[in-house]
Amino acid sequence: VGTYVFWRLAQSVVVVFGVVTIVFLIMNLSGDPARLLMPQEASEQDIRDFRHANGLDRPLPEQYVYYMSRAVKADFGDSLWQQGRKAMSLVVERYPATLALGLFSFALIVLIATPLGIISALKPYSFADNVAATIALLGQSMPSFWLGIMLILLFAVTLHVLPSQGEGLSGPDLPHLILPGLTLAAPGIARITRLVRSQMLDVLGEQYVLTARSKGLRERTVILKHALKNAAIPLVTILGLDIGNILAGAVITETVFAWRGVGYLAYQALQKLDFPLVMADVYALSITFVLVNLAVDLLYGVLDPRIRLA
Amino acid sequence: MNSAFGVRTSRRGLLRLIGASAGMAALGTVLNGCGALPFAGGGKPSELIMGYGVDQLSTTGLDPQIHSGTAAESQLRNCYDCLVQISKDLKTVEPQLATEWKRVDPLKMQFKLREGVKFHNGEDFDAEAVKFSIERPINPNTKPRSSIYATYANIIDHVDVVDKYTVNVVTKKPDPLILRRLSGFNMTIIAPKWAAAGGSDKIKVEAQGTGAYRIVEWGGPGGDVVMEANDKYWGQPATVKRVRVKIIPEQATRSAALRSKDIHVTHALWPEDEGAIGGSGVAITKKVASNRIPFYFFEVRKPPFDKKEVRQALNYGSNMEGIIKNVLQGNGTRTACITAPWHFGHNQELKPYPYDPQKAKDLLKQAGLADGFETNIWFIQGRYMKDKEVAEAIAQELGKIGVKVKPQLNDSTKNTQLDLAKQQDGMIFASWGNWMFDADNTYFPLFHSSARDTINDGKGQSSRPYGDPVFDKMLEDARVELDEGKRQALYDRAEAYFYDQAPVLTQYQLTDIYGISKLVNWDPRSDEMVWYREMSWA
Repeated sequence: VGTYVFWRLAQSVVVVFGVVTIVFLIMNLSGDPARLLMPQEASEQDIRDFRHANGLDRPLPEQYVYYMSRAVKADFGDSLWQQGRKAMSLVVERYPATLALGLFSFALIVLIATPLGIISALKPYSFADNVAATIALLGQSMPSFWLGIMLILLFAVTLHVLPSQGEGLSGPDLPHLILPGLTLAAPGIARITRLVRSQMLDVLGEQYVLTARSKGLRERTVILKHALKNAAIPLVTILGLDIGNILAGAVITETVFAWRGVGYLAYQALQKLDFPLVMADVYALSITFVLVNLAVDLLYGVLDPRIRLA
Repeated sequence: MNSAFGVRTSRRGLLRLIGASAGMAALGTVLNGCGALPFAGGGKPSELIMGYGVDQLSTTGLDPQIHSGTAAESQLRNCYDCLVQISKDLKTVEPQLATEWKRVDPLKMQFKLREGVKFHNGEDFDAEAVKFSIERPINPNTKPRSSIYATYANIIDHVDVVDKYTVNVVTKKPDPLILRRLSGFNMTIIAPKWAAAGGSDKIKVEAQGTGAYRIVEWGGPGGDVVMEANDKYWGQPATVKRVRVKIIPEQATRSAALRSKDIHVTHALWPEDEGAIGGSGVAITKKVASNRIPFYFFEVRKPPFDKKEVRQALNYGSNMEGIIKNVLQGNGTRTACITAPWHFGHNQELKPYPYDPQKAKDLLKQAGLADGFETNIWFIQGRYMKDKEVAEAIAQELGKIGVKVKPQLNDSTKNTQLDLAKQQDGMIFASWGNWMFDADNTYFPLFHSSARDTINDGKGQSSRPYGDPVFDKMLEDARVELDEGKRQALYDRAEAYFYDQAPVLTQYQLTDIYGISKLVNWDPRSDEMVWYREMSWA
């Protein structure tokens, strides 16, 4: 197992390295941050000074090598937009907000999608199944910026039961989590519901389910212990990938709800062409994603002992 | 499959769902009751909450003297005063920390200072504070430096302390604009001992001014700014005792937050928000003509825009009134040139070019272009209300007089690159917010030959195409004329000349739409400033 974890970690480093390289190239194609950040009235000398101070006047390969040598130490230099602040420290500061929102969304996906999927599978094409299918269709087809606004209109403007925006991580501020969490979870809920349904349908036709039933086990035990556990492997894979979707969705959702996490920070950094900040942000997000997927791979072994030796 | 199980579970699930929704609703009610949400039912809210769409404090923090962003200015001016201020109608200069002033000689303006004023930290306001504050931004050793100074403040040479409450502000050349210059955001008076001791790092994270509010909390970049009324304010004390400023970037969320009573005042709304906010019963919208004026430069260095007739023809043929009515839903005020009525030097006699397609065609014929021509319109999207839609409408309207216009939409970075590489022609989008409320501040930086010849390191750029010795002379004369009457006459002539030469496609003043809770009394201003001391609870 130790060797396996080591190799997976080595692969992860290559992935993060690749991501940072791609982002570096794309950012450099998108224009001159000196022009954008300096006021319209700035003199040419001011703009040249700014470029020099931030290393933007050096050749691209040199900038790349410099960036990479610092990226190893998770240091991307100072933010161009928030002068005098380390890009990475800004990301670290905002990270807990995104972590809380992401975990909450993830919990919503698991807690809503699993029962919905099971209900659908137990009685396919019934009324309950059709309701679940409609929920899944809506969740998958509504863009998050639109769904976010609609939820605000319903729960904040019309019903006055939830706050319209802002973040809250503790105590009385916790209701702030609900609307952005739901918005972020919607596509995941849709995907996972359909997946649970199809997996359960497959498994419920298996012989061991029949065996379990014929042993006279309670239906609840048959479903939750025998069927669901066997249906879980592909579920865990997709749930792991959904963390990626949650991280990506955070950019739009956090901006709509003024939730000050790394997604909203990425949006601001992109708007200001703040290279170091974008790099630091993407770096943190890609490491999160890679670690989650590593965790998922290790989880396979727990769920299915046959995979343990891989 | 066991059907009984499925049905039972789904029913139970449904009941749980209903239970959960009811629970959530109850939770909301309870929270409202406890006052956990800002709006405990009935009575005045404990603080007034303003929602901004843009975050400008993150770049340079709270230092008022190096900012150039209007949204940052609009927040920090509540804490910092200048010697003088611009009146609410933006037409005259009024006392602020100076009570009276007189010109001692062409280079020297003398100010009597308000006595007994204290900074938020208890320091005395006096002549030394003025000298320190005005000389800080013009000192080349101050870091970080405000680049706006290179253009606007370097005419100020130094400040002389005459006595404890009298100062002379000395300029390098006679400066008719000195009062307006001193009303500028970067000319705010800051507590000198605090500033000298802490330096720029301190000024960036704290605010010690003489204004009606003091900042009691700033959550850092992107965070809320909380202000409390300054009890020792020299003027009428503010009636709203506590203000919280939040950043909510998404316009639809701002509008919803206002309707759900999560915020009390917000800005930069869209025409589409008006109905929803008006119909909500909890808030209203108020509109003002903005100080910000968009227009299109004609690239006069490339034919056929070197011909005056062509430029006039496009102004006659663009149907700007129709565009204001139909595209902007009335949210724009047509302009004859590119100054607002409250700007000093604005020519009140000029009438905007009317829509006259026949006249436009005649002018094109005179220019030898009876069959029209092909050109481009360069623009960006999303900076101002319906900018893209307006550009497309202009292209369509000009098609009717035989000018085939190709829309060239680019993101702002790409647009800037093309602009700097001088790769744009035809019509080029521009917009200007004149912060001195004086014609000089529009025409000199945009239309004097020196602007064309020095911009972009002397390499020039597409968006500074104009230069004309006749117009140059008019601007230069007005720049040093100290007599107001004579100066106005000079600008009347200059604007009439500009109107006839038509170096731009004129458009309109933008309309700013504010959303205001029914709990708040307030009339917004045209200069985008939000003074909380002008607000009160209804």
